[in-house]
Amino acid sequence: MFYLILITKLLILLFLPIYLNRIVQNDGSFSKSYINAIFLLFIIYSALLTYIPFTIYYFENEVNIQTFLPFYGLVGFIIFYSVLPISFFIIQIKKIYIQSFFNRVFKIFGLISLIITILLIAGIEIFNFINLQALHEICYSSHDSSSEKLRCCLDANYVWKEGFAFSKNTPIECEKYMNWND
Amino acid sequence: MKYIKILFFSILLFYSSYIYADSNFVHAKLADKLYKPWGIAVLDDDHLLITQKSGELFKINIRNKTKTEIDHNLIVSEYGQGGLLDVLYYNEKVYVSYAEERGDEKYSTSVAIGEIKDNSISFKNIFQSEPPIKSKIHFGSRLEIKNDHLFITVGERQTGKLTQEIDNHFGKIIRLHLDGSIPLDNPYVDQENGLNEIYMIGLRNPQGMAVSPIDNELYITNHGPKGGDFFGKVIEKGNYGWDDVAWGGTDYDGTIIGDGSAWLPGLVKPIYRWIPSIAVSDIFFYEGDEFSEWQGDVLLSSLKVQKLFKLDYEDGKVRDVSIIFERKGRLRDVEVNNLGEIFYIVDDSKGSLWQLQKS
Repeated sequence: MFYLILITKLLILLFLPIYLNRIVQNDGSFSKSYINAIFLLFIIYSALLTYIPFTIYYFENEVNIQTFLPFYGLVGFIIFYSVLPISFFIIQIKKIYIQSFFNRVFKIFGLISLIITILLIAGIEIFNFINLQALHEICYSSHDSSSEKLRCCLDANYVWKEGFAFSKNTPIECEKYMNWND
Repeated sequence: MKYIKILFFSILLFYSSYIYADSNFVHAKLADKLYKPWGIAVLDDDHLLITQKSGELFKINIRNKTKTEIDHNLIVSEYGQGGLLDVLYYNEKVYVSYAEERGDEKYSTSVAIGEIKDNSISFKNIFQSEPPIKSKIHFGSRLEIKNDHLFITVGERQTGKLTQEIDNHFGKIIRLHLDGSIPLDNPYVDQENGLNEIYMIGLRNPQGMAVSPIDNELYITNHGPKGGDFFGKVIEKGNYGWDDVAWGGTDYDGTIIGDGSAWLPGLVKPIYRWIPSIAVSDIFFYEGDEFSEWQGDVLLSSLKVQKLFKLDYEDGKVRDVSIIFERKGRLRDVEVNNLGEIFYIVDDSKGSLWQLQKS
């Protein structure tokens, strides 16, 4: 199921801009509102898959990621995945003239960036899924004495053989299992 | 208009004040514009020594808040998590730990000793961790004295499994005589390939250490990976198990460390663990009159969660954990002088030294 969802997610990311590019080229076949709606859908969808989760990770992860990726690195990442594609599509939608050579270069660059992004997202999500499976195996082997405990473990952010823990806001029904210091 | 101006300037004065009061405590700023301060040592009832990671050592007069730089001969600069780190004052000697460049951009945790003469110290090395390597993290470097022995924490420097070997100093507690010579009764002195300075093994990055006045035992804090910071006891020839175990934590990328066990038979068990991590820094067992209700309790500072904790530690167990204060910045070190006055430093490029007082 994980892989099915992942492939679907990534195919949408791949084909949405291609579809948007095609409908923009078809003069008059599609209404402006429809084009704008697809455009909005794409920028929100790509944000949810790229720089939004990465920004959250940058500020909330335990590792001091800020020491090797400075803030301007994060800003550059956000610009790459927001400002650049938005600018490209505005130029397309507003039919702002650009020499066909540069237009072609932008499109090829955009396509290559999209494919690399898809491969990166796929790699990261598969890696995280494999790690999560390993933690879930510990839940099934060490914390399955009750269905409630198992459920708590499967929802936990930290899992080890003798216990589990949450990053924030431990659910009330799981608090009784947070006794590893007793 | 006149009253608006008075109100405006009163508010401005309040927020620029050197005194910050919450409901229970007063935080008195003793020094600011400190660049990444790391260690505090009590010189006497009126003076503290403070280190800066960039290599400077200062004497602070806590009564008139003056700051005097102590010249020294160590060549130290900031190197990742390394630099000039802890400082300790004992029997008129100043001990410092630092990240020492040993050639070819390889660094070790080193300790030097000297005496203050005319605001100047000529340090002499008494310990260098082996081997020096190119890693910018996990230097450990906390110093403590117990029963006229000098104890030093050395971090694992990203070497992982090497912390389990006794032919290096990674992830170890070191015990020396006060002059740097090696006690003949150190646990690995008679062992082949064992380095004679080693007292305990299996740590990741221990940055806190203190002697309990109750049981005269030595205690440490240790940074876990993603989760697994702990407070524990130093045991001669003991092994905390890094990186076969991670005390409940995982690696930062989510992978399990070892087989996912927090502890294995034969290893020393931490007394108290934090999952998620709090980035635990230093500890101090409180003795004094100012906060007499805290007698014997453990004061524990943290970097990530920016809290000063109090652990009610008794008979080998932490009975209660409470927060003394929070949101004052990344707390790197906490010390108490002979008068029971509590001092702490905020680790930042614009760091500061504070005294905690009762309101």
